[in-house]
Amino acid sequence: MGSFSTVNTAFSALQAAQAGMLVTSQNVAGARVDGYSRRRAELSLSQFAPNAADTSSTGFSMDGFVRDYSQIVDSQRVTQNGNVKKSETLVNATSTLDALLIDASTSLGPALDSFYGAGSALVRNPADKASRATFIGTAASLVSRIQGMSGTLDAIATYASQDLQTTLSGANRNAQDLAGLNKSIIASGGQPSPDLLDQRDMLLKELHGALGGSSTINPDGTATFRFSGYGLVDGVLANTLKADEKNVLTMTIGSGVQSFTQVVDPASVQGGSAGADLLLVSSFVPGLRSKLDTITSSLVKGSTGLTADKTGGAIFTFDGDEAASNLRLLVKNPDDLKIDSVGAATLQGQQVASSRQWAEFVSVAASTMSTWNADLTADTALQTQLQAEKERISGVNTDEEAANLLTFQQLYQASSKIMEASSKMFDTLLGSLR
Amino acid sequence: MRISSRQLLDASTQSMQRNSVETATWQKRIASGQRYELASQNPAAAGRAVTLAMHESQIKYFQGNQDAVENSMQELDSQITGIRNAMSSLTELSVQARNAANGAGGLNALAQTAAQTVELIKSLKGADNSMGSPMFAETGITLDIEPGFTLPMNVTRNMVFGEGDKGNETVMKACEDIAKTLADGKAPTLEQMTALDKASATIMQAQVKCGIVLNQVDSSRAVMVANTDAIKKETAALLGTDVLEGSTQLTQAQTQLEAARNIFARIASTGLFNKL
Repeated sequence: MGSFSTVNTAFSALQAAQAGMLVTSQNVAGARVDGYSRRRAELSLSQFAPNAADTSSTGFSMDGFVRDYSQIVDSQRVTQNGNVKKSETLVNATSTLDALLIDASTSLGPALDSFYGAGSALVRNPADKASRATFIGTAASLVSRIQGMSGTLDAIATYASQDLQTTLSGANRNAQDLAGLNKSIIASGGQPSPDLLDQRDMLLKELHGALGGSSTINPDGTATFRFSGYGLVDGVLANTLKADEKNVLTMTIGSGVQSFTQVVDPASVQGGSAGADLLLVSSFVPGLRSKLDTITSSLVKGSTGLTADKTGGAIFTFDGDEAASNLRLLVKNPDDLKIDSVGAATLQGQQVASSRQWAEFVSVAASTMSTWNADLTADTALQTQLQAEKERISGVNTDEEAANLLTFQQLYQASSKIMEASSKMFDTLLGSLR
Repeated sequence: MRISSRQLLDASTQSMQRNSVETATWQKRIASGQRYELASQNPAAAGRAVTLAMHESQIKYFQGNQDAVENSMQELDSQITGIRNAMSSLTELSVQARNAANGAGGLNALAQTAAQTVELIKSLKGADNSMGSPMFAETGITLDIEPGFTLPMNVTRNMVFGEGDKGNETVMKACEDIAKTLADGKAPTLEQMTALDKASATIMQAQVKCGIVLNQVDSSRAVMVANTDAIKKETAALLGTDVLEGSTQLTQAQTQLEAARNIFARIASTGLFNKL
């Protein structure tokens, strides 16, 4: 047995303790960093450790820093982020409309009731100037309220379009970053550092949140991200997404002269913020706008029962196709309004139909938003569970790290003592030879 | 089972957030009396609320019409009473005129009184109502006082004063014939007095009709009041905050918020690193 083996073994223990303290400090530093996965120093017994003096001694070598991580849990977590972001985007974009529908000062219902109520006073006394002035006033308020509701729908569509542009811009950037990261992972020769892998997972989470899509972790540690059947990130290559002013999505595949552009089927974009934005601009807003235009058209048609000098019959009108946003009141002066009891009674008879149309609008919009709210609650709950599972596996417990720090500190101290004792033994031996 | 430090703190943070939101929500609900801030919280209630508000608005329309019919009929009733009283006076004058004891002077006095009474009837006939429209209109106006049920708001000139052109209705003709005969220094004939009686009956029929309409308005009013109460009750049950429930939930949320804060403070101040 060589005396050097004692020192070298103690030295390998010192290195192990140092590695352990290093990884403990990394874990403590990364405890609150989003996406950080706990590491540990992987030590093993090694007869062929480079620090062993001869092959008969026992040495320890550092195999590396191992990342505590579950591929299954993390894959589910990043995918679920797409669902959460979609629900969040839908709920946030429609929160204003949700509040307006039930608020008496902004909803269309009270304005319709006031308008028809003022009309009913004209049934009893069509010549009364005060009643006529009130009627014109409520008609003006009704026009303003309808235009306001139309403006709210336009605002949702505008927000969704702008958000889509921002989302795609961010996704393109993340795709480029992921492709670059894949290159670094390949260059590491099959032993990528935990930091690279953590960054990879963070980028995948962002991409899923933006686009939905699907991802794969390849055996070499690189990631592939697929969107709408095409590879947005494939190895070291990243393609680019764009949306035009009509929200038509295209993907440019390749670069330079060999690139080509493919139109993305909007029906295939189901997840992420992009999926939410497309749902809003292509389905939700147009559907509600159509209903609002129907209410407005019925109102205009119904107002032709009232006679007015200059317009030949109607007190409301609109230009073009979009009735609600282009609605105008034609009669401003009560004296210009020629209405008799019969005309007022005819108008009054339309209150039920108008109210029914508005109730349908409210029910459809509220039901859709209620479903999205329920989806957000469910998606967030699942996300929380998956996050908790990830934390259980990959999260840092500072108490655990404190215990590890103490353990490695004691190991360091004990190994130092062994080296000191071996050195004294050697000095004694040298002293006896003089 | 393993747990990370972040999970411990995040659980407390999320609990504080959740209970803060609950506290704020129930405070707002109690203060405003409204159970829902968003239509999506109960889509069925939101849609139903629109229909209930419309029904309430329609009831106000019907109630307004009921008031208009009632006011109009009361005015007419009062006016017709005046006309009937005047016609009773004419009848008395006619009976007095047929008394052989009257001389030329007596008949002359009766004629003057009869002429004034006829002028009074004409004045009452041509008066305007409180809305500035002729009290005895040319055409009838009906108003909805209940869903699917209308009542006349006025009585027409011909309905009260009988058939005939304006000024030449059977009632006016009967009254003017009496006055003219007296002015000619003669007593009214039996035929003229019979015609005056028939005219009085016509006026009375119109007044009875006003009374019937007023009774029908009273019945409809009771129906509308009951409907209004039912709507208000349903609206309150659907959309109003139950104050007892709200107070309980608010207290619970505040208690849980305080507990979450205490737990967070305790967890945040402990740790193995602090003890090393």
